[in-house]
Amino acid sequence: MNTKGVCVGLKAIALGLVVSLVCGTSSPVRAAELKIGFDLSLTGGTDDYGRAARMGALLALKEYNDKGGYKGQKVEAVIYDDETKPAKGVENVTRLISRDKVFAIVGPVNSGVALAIIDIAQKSQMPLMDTIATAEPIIQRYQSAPKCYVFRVSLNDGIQTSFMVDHIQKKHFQRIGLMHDSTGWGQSGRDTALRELKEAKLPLVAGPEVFDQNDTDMTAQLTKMKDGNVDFIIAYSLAPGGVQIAKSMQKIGLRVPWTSTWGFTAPNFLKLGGKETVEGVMAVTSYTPDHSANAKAFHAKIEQEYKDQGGDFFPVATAQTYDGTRLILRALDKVGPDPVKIRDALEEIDDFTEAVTKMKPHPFTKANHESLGRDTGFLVIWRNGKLVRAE
Amino acid sequence: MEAIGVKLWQALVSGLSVGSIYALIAEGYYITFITTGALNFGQGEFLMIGALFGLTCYITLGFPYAVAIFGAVLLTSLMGIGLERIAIRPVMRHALSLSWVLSTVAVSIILKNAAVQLWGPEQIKFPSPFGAGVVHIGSAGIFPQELFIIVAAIGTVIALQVFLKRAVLGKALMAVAFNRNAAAVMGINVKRMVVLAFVLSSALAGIGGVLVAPITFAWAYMGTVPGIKAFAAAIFGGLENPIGILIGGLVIGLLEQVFGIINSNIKEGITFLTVLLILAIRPSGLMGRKEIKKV
Repeated sequence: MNTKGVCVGLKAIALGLVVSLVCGTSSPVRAAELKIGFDLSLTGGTDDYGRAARMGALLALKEYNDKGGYKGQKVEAVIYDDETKPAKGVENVTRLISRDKVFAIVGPVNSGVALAIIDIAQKSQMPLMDTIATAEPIIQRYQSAPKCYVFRVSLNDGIQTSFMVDHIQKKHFQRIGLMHDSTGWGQSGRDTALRELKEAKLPLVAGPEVFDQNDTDMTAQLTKMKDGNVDFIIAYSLAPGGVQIAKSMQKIGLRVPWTSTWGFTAPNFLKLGGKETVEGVMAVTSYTPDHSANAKAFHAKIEQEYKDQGGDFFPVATAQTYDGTRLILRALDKVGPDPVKIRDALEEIDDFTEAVTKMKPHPFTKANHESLGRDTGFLVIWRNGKLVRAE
Repeated sequence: MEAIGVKLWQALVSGLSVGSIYALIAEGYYITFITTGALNFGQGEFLMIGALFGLTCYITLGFPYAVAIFGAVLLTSLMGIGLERIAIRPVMRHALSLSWVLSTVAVSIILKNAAVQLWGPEQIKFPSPFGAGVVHIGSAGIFPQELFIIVAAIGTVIALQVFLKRAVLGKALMAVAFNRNAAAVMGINVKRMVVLAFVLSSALAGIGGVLVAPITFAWAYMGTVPGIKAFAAAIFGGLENPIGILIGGLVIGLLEQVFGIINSNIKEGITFLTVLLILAIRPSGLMGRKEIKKV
């Protein structure tokens, strides 16, 4: 009885071994599934950006796969929503790296989320392509490391602010006011603006004044702008707060030119404010759908492919993510699905002539992981419900 | 440099409109507290549902603004009945139970999730029926909608008082608040009065939503902050005193704007520091306790 039992047991173990061996042989096929990861904000405060970015990413991937993919194999997208929460972003990125075994990650949308996840990407040697978030430290933190794994296709806050300073100098404004929302992004924007203004020797006569991004009455802050007799206001605000600023300016009868970063190019700025309220308000952009033949063709494609998702409703976010995703796929073509090699290859791509943004054919170098720089953006102004170049 | 008087006047006008909304929601806390000892911590989310449903009536279905207010009140009232049935009655079997805190918070989270599914996560514009122009009262600018908020919110609070003091149903509700057992002995249906309290409380939030949405936009997360500030107003004014609550709401709205003139970085901190100080001196709120004896 005993020996028989042992025998049965051994047989079972042997069977188990065989089964596991068979399964084992099939596992390399599974591991070879090609996956690119996305961590985007599809809900929460900055979901507009996330949903627009997703369109650009999916179109880039679809075109790549339609052309045969990587050596005949299709690349699959794994998309997670971080709900605009840093903790959720950390969870998503960890999962993309350890469970989904992606070869690169595109995202995130929000600067607060980005600052929380770049450490993981850098430590895990996983290339991270930021196509939206604008805080300066996202790139700065690891730029001087022997190998920096973070790349950006978006105008950082410093560069955006420098366009504002250019405009101020060109128009000879002398009395500048500064406002910002109380988020981490708003506060880092404040520091950037103070630095840029100081460098340009422009006097700050009012502010920095802070507001909560859901405040509905900004008359207290704007009265100080009025008291300071400002002739130009820089406001680090996203679209909803921007509409409230514009409305409160009407209340106290303050009429001066003012701008935010590219937050005011978001479609909900016009939707929430209406044509009259946003008239004359400025913003920064790196992209307009008509600035090049590539951009025009891309705009038409998005309008057509994603009609059901609102078409090209937020062109900048879509275009930047389209370019960022295509750069990764280009690197994949060159070196295969190895994260470390893809990072190296990204620095070497020097023939990316099909960009829809204004990046150069050689967008990244070892010393510079910012593909969009001083010569790739400008101020735009809302005129009659449309964004036009501010001159 | 504008005179300080001009700035104060603007702060006063702006503060009154925010404060009257706090007061309106806070009266909802009062009504259920006096009848059951429980509060609906989801008042802010009821306000949000009122705003979004009002928006659907007003814009999507094209009804007049008045009908939108009525629709929001109807829906939130029904939700009040549901809330009492599923989140209050089952957990209030023991007099000292605090489970209603969790159950009302749970309902509020469910409502927020549902609203994101139904209306999306983004702010939606709620056009004011009174237009987008600014009117001036002296040197202060204000939107007609804000004036309407002040008038409608304070008007509703007063109407509520008249109802509670004069109408038969209102008197019955106050009798339950004063002494449950005695009221029951006198033939008042206590259970129904408790339901009525939650209906009134929820309806107030619903009205608040439709009133405030043209100023704040309508969206799934719009209710959280007003809900908390209204709670502060209720405690600050005295949870058992409706007049105190009205004053509490207005004062908190005003303090925020006035401190905003001094320094916008610390306006909320200072506002709540003031609330703490006053509570330290008068633990039952500005007008707590004393008045309740008159009921």
